[in-house]
Amino acid sequence: MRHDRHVLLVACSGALLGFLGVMLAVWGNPENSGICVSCFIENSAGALGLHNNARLQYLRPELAGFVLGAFGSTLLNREFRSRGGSAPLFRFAAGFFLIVGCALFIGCPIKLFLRFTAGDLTALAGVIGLLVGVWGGLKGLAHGVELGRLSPAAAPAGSGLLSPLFFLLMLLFVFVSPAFLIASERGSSAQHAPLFLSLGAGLLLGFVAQRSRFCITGTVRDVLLMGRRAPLLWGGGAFLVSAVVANVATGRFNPGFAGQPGSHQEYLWSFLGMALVGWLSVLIGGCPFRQLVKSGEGDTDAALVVAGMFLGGALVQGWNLAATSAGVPTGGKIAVISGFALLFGGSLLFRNRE
Amino acid sequence: MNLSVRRFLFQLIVLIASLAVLSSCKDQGRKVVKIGYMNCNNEQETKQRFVPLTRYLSDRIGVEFVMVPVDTHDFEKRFNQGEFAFTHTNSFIYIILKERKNLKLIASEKRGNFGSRSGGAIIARKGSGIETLAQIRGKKFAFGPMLAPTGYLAEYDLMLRSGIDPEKDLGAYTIPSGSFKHEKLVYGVLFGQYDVSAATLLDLETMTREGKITPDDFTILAQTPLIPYCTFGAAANADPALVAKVRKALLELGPADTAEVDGERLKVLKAAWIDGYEELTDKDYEPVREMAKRVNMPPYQKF
Amino acid sequence: MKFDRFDKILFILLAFAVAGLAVYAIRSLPGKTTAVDTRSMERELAAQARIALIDKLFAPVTAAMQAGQYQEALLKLEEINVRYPGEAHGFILKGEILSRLESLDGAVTAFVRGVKLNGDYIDKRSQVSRRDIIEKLLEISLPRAAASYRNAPGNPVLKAALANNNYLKSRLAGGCE
Repeated sequence: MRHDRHVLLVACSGALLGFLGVMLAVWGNPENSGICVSCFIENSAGALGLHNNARLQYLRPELAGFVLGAFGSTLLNREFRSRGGSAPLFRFAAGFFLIVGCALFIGCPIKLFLRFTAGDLTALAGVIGLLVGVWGGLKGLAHGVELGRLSPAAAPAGSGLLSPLFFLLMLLFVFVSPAFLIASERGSSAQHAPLFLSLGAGLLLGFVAQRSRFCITGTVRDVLLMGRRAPLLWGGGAFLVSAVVANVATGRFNPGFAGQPGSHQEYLWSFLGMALVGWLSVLIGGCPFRQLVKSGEGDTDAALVVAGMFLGGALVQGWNLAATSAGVPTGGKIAVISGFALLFGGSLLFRNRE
Repeated sequence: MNLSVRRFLFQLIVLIASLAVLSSCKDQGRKVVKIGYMNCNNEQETKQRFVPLTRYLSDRIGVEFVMVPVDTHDFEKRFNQGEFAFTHTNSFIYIILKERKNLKLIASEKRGNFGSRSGGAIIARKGSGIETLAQIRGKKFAFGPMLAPTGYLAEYDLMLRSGIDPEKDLGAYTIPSGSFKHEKLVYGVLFGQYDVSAATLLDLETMTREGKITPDDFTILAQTPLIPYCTFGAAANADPALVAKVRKALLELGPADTAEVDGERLKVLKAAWIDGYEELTDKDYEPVREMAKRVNMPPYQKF
Repeated sequence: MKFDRFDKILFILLAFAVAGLAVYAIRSLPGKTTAVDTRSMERELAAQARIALIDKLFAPVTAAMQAGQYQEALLKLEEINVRYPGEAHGFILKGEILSRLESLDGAVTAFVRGVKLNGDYIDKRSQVSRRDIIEKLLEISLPRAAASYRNAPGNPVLKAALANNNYLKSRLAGGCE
């Protein structure tokens, strides 16, 4: 019964994520980017003045919603625990390279499947990359690569509150709009759903994702490990079905390779970008979305990943590493290769050889 | 000198001699094929532009291509004599050779704003009082060379279609002598030597870009339709496999491709002042044929 | 949990810090302050100044275009490009002119260069938007480019032309750029 309830919760989470992922784009977010954690982080970094791409500066309320929704869920269920201390600096660097990998594909794992369910067949390279990356991560885990266990002792009581407090501050900025906050008046950051819809969707998704532990890369990981018995498979399936249905119903299903919104046809780099994301996600315990949710639960290591992601969001724009429809810049290629170097080097260092 | 040293020296000499023979064999083994390049302005400029391209083709295809610069009026004669199997000409010469000698079309050159096409214009100096095409009647006119599609043929055709007979309605017309005829047409109007002249759009564009003229000094009275311009061709009996290789090499030529000329590595497209090549069909040259028929020019000339 | 004297001092100091934040936060609320948000104003002024400058700079080109003198407009553009090479507006105007002269490949190439330099030209709500012109151009040029490439797959020139068309189509479709 408990298992059935959990599966139902997971399926509902997936369905909501898929549905709201499409609807947020209908309500005003950029095409195929109703929910994209990497894009949102790049936009928010720009809004805070961390980069100067005038077309990508907007403090996305969804991010605060994810973290605070998760925080609210843990408070309600008395699950909030400050914990951390497991390879924090590596996680910070991993957060940076998660965004690098996403920037090369032009989207996080959630957007990967939102693009795919909208008919963007160029996302296939990313799907295969993600699968290969998660598989690689699992192989690493099986061969003793682990970053260490999180420990409440390593994180002083209350330290886990810093991330929710930071995002509460971000939320305050959204409403108060201080002078230093930048909001693009053109470009994709000028496209956003109404504030209360974005925030509401973010809070709801943060809440249910915390309850269900649903995560895209987690789904892939569990399916590879457990096959059809994986509860998260129901979430993944519900996500795909709801996203396809929503895309078809709203006339946003346009199958094809060429001319898709926010996509390029350098398939090798889409593959490598998502492979890096998949592999890193397995090592650090979740995709970018899951890291946000965990930071809301009190996980200080996830909070460091989020900090790394913000740095990544700033530098992929500031250093022109991000891919666009025109293709992948050389800097981006170098960055993703550096990410793999960190990954393989880190795996060697963190490998338990007993 | 002991035996082992002598043996070593003997072996060294044999090795060096063999290498020398082999290297010359490699060069002698390459087939030599000549490409006739029509001189646009003068021979020196043509060589400067197209030697790197010729070297590029040699490097890509493994055939020793040799560049032969040819004056426009001698081109057909020298081609008929079999002096060269491949041609680089304007579109007018191409259709003449196509009609008379079944020249094969390889690729068309892209240059300027209109890619593989270009056109001509009839220009007057601003402030001269000549504002419309009709006003050129009775005026002193300068054409480009007679075999220039966008310096003579297209403008002559344009006038005929506009009801102006150059033989009767102009005060006089002339064709500048010597080299750089096309630029002389533009300068001639600018400095008052001619009232009106034919000018190729490419020349106007290039001279503006180089700061030689400013568009504010001219009035464009009329513009001709756009037609294909510089064209690579091959003799009817040229090896089809070689023709295909040349076509492929030209179509794949990009801005970063280089060739070595006199010890210097040069960018081929930049040296040639072109933007690349594209594959047109013979049908795309129909407008040039129609112009030649209307103007009574070769290969349709009737006496 | 027992709090000692030092804890109490820390709590008091924390209370002061929070109170100070609250005071400054309230003072900074819009409507409660006379401070002008100069940053947004500067950005807006810079954007308007740029538009005014390029309008002035390219005025001879647009005048020639409006008079139907497209060749003169192209030559004028050549002249301006000598002084301002790589300016996106120049490429966009060239695209417009070549589009009207039905030189479709050239128009697409010019628009691609312009849009890559400045995405404002493809935004719906931008003051310099050329979205409509690009959409109309693609209606004709994209099917032609696709058909040409289908007839000669592997031809690098046709492949590049199709890629340019698809790039514009992708930008028109939207996404995070």
